[in-house]
Amino acid sequence: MLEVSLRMTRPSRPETGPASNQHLAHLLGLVAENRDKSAFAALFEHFGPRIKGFMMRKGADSELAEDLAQDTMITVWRKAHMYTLDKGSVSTWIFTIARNRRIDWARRLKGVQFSDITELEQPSDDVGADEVVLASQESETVKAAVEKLPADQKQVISMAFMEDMTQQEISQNLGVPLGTVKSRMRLAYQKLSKSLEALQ
Amino acid sequence: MNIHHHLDDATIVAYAAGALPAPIAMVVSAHLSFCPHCLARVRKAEAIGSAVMEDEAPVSLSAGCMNNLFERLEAETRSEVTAPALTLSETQEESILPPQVRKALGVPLSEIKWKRIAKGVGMKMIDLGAEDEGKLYLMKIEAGRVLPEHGHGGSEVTLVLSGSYTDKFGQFGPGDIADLDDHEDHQPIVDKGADCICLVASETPAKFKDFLPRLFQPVIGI
Ligand SMILES: [Zn+2]
Repeated sequence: MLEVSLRMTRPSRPETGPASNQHLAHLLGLVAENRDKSAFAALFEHFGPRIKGFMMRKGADSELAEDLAQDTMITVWRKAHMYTLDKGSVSTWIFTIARNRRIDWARRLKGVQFSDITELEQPSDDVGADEVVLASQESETVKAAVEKLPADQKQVISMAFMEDMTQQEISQNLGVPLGTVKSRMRLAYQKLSKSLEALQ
Repeated sequence: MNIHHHLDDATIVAYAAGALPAPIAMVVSAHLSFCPHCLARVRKAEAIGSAVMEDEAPVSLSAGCMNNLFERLEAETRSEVTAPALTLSETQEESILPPQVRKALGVPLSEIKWKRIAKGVGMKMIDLGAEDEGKLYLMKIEAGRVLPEHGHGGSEVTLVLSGSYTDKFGQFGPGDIADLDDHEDHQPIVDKGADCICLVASETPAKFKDFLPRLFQPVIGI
């Protein structure tokens, strides 16, 4: 189990501090352009323990969690040139990769990897400037907005993102119709995306 | 591409959570490769997801972890130099298939052996190795053909790749996705002028072990 002391020592992420998005994006840029290994090590120092914590929360033991954290970082090395600000914060981008690595491991599809399906090989998303999420504050803002969701909406968000449950599984687990699960997800998404838009 | 029919918000969230059955995730991902509007919505949902996920307390890495990572990186950089670049012939016809679909399909569109499942209707299953999660297939339907009225047992999504069809929800052309609630019956009519090729995925309903697309159960008599 996670110890309280870990929570206490969790570094805060001030906007201009060493782990600001700007700083992380700078490190990632060095990896992409110069194949800079010390920048890569710095990224791993920041994200490694976080990804390990995430993997262990999902049921991986310490060894597997580190293995998946390394997998994640190797993908970061490989795809660093595809990161652009329009993909959200560096943290969002890396956690999305970590999530994919976990799903690849959990699902073990016989044909393609799940990440082959979802990691689009696009150098840039080409979205309009008005749709770009402001990276630096987004995580705090979203967390606050999630806390404000009605309990039933918060529950489906957490079951989807934390427990990896499909809509059908959530519906069975809660004993509510699939349509109800979908409408709770819709409402939660609409509220949370409004809070992100408010940042722009 | 002029896209009129987009993904449901609930599908956006489930996709960003990695919580869609693999076949449905594939069709969603194919739509995203055509649709910057939905891609921006997915980015928002991913931001929501990472805020939830990174809320976990960090756990210190073991002493050898950084070394292991760099050993793996060495192997990775060696293969970076030697790996031959992947070349795919990009004919006009192939370009209607997004790369991830082309890869899973394994053969060019022009060489598909369509399985005739009804008059004017061909089908090609795509194997993702995820039979228990659902089915993924291409359908090619003759211009002007009227499909039987039907509903869907579980979640089902249809992405038009070429041609178009019309039903009570409107006209669906290239890039449009039908991401509809289960119980709605509809009767698609393929528009005249061109065959319609669609990428379809359905989730295996919890209650059926062996599942065939319900649309054709009456047609093929199962
Ligand atoms: Zn769309």
